[in-house]
Amino acid sequence: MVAHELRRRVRDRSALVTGFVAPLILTGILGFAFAGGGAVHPVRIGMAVAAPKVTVHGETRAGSVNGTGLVGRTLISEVVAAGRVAAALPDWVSTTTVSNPGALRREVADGVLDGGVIVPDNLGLTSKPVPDRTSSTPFGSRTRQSVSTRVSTSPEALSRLLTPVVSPGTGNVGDGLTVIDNRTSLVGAQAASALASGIAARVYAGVLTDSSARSHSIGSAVAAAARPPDISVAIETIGNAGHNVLYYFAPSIAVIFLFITAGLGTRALVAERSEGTLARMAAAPVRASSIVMGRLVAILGIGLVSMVVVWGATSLFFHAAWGNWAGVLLMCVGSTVAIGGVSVFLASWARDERQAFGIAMIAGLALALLGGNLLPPGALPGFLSDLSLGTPNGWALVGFGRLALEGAGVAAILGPLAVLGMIGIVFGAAAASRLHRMVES
Amino acid sequence: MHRSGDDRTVDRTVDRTDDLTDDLTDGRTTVGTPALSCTGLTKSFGGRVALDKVSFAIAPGECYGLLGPNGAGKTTTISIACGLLRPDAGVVNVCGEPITDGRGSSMAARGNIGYVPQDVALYPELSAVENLKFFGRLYGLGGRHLAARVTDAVETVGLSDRANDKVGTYSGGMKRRANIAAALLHEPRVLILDEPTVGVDPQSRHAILEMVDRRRSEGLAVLYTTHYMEEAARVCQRIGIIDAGKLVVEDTPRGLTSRLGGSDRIRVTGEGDLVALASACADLPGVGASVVVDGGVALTADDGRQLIPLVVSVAAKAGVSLSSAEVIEPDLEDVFLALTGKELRD
Ligand SMILES: Nc1ncnc2c1ncn2[C@@H]1O[C@H](COP(=O)(O)OP(=O)(O)OP(=O)(O)O)[C@@H](O)[C@H]1O
Ligand SMILES: [Mg+2]
Repeated sequence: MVAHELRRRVRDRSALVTGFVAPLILTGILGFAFAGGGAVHPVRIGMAVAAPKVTVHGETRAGSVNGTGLVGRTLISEVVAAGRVAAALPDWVSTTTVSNPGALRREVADGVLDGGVIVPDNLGLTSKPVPDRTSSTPFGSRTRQSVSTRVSTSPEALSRLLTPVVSPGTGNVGDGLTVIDNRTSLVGAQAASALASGIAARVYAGVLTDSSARSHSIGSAVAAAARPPDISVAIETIGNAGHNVLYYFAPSIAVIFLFITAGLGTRALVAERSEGTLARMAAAPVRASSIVMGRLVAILGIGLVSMVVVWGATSLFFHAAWGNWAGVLLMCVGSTVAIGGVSVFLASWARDERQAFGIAMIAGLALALLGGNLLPPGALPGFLSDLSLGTPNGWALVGFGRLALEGAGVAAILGPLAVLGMIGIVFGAAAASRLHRMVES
Repeated sequence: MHRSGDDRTVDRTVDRTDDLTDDLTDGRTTVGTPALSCTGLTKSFGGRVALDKVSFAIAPGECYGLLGPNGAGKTTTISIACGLLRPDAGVVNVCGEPITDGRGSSMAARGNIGYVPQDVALYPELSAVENLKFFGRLYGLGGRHLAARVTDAVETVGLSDRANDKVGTYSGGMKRRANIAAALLHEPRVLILDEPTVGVDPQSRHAILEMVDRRRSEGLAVLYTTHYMEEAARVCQRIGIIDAGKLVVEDTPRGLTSRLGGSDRIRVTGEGDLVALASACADLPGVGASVVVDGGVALTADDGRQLIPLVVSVAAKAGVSLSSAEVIEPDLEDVFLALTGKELRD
């Protein structure tokens, strides 16, 4: 009996795939992501210049000292591009410049970057209202604060380094530095904070010099001033309050449930074909298309319910915050249609029930791996993170991520939603035509 | 088992078959609008011809048996008749309505058919009542009418006391009966049964045949496929024999058996001049063929029982001492063997 069962299993190739290939792929990717405590996986920190708030005639508006963001950009290039801070960072931390703070926040939330630093254009300058035309900027007069300019290579040392300058939870971007922390990234916040403290230290140390021989060096200007200002560093955590990886993993789990429900639904339909109940239905005075649509809607309906259940259960029992409820609902519908459509379409090629479920599970596992459902954002190596946008679940996670991690509204998910809708229409129609053929013959 | 060794007989039958098929396509065999008519059904599966110009018609109140071995094309015929399979050529009419109109299928025609699939097609995890209600709704039944129809159908097949048990817990015979009940719910005008008695205990088989005959006598047209000759002989008014996708012959059960040399077969055994006995018998009135076989003589005759005394006296004259004489009335198995050269059952 056992031999017979084993022989049947080996003959069935899907068993080999689920038994060996898939676990190997999973092991490989997990190893890739976590191998050597981050030695393989670089931490990417983005930097952007923020226009400082300027009060003119009693009104607060965004502005900058010279209206171009030049001071902030100079700072960034001095500190980072010229290698003054970057060289001191561990080699697994890389830095990049992002065009504006909004884009920076989005990239951190989406997991493209592991953390970020927002540099105000008037860093080191007073936050007193300054008229736009004024070129003679008053500087503070306090003496230099002692902040180490050396940046250690160990994450522990990096975080210790922050203690004197970081005032977490101020929530005030103000004119200080802002560290953007994606809470699901393992060391992104520490690296970004280290970078911020490096910038601050350089400003205080007065070692920033204008290499392009502009009229004055910012660093030396600060240093020369009688009273250097405080440079505050605020940590801004993307998402809602509380540090919980579930914010990211709850939608991931829900998306994986979709593959399971769609696979089970298709398996049931394939079973009905072999059991003959499908033929009996097709013999009744009912259009084949209504049988197919009924089935498809039922499969997707169950998928939607399973998503909503995961949403409700994780919110209720684990206090996961999914964000804007209307957005979450839309994302649930979009994800169900797209992922359900893809899954039913793939499973409809199965010759028997075992294959149908096998195909849905293998496709689900492969897409979940590619789409990054099994790992925190940013944990995927670069090329895989690009590849994840080739999967419907990857797009689902972008949308859910924006809602949960970024606290965005419905407008922010229209893009991912449109992509999911398109995938849903194409694969839903293909799946319907496959099922139609199944009913007709 | 006896076999037909008489080539002449087979030839004659085949000739007659051709005549009959012509008659059939002329429409002479049915009067008025048939409940189900199939004309020129042809179907190939990837080069293999499964059905080749199959035509037949069934009148209301008639049970038509489609008899054939495995792979003959019975299920294919039924699938086309029910609109489940599109024929390469040919037309199916149900109560005067084509089963397919243009590209789609006619809902009215489908509504007139009760289809009993070859394999039990019910949800094992649901009770008979739940199954019947589900399929009843597909036929537009609902509410109290549906409930009454379900009760009636369950009663008809004798499942009332187990109606609320899961179908998965039924015996093979009970499942088959429930399978039939699902086709009776909407009171179809044509009942199509695909080998409904395969693997069924004698009681269930008896119940099924009884039920089919009762419904037929109430005016239902029945298409009944089977491997079993005795079943066909019992419930069918007409039988079509199908082999390798071709309808070989079509007649009443009596008409079919009378095709075998038109008659009974007599076999006598004895010792003496068997050749002289055979030629003497050939001159007797009503004798078709008379040949010497191993240790005796085989005859075909219109009425075997009346011929026996004559054969005995002829044998005495020819100096043959008879040790046995038997009359063998042919059955459908012989008909099948004679027509196709194959045994009906494997
Ligand atoms: N879907 C199909 N694809 C390919 N060949 C088929 C298909 N359905 C039937 N056939 C072939 O058509 C022929 C007739 O099959 P069919 O099922 O009609 O026989 P049958 O008379 O019902 O036999 P049985 O008594 O075993 O049920 C067989 O040779 C079969 O292999
Ligand atoms: Mg069959």
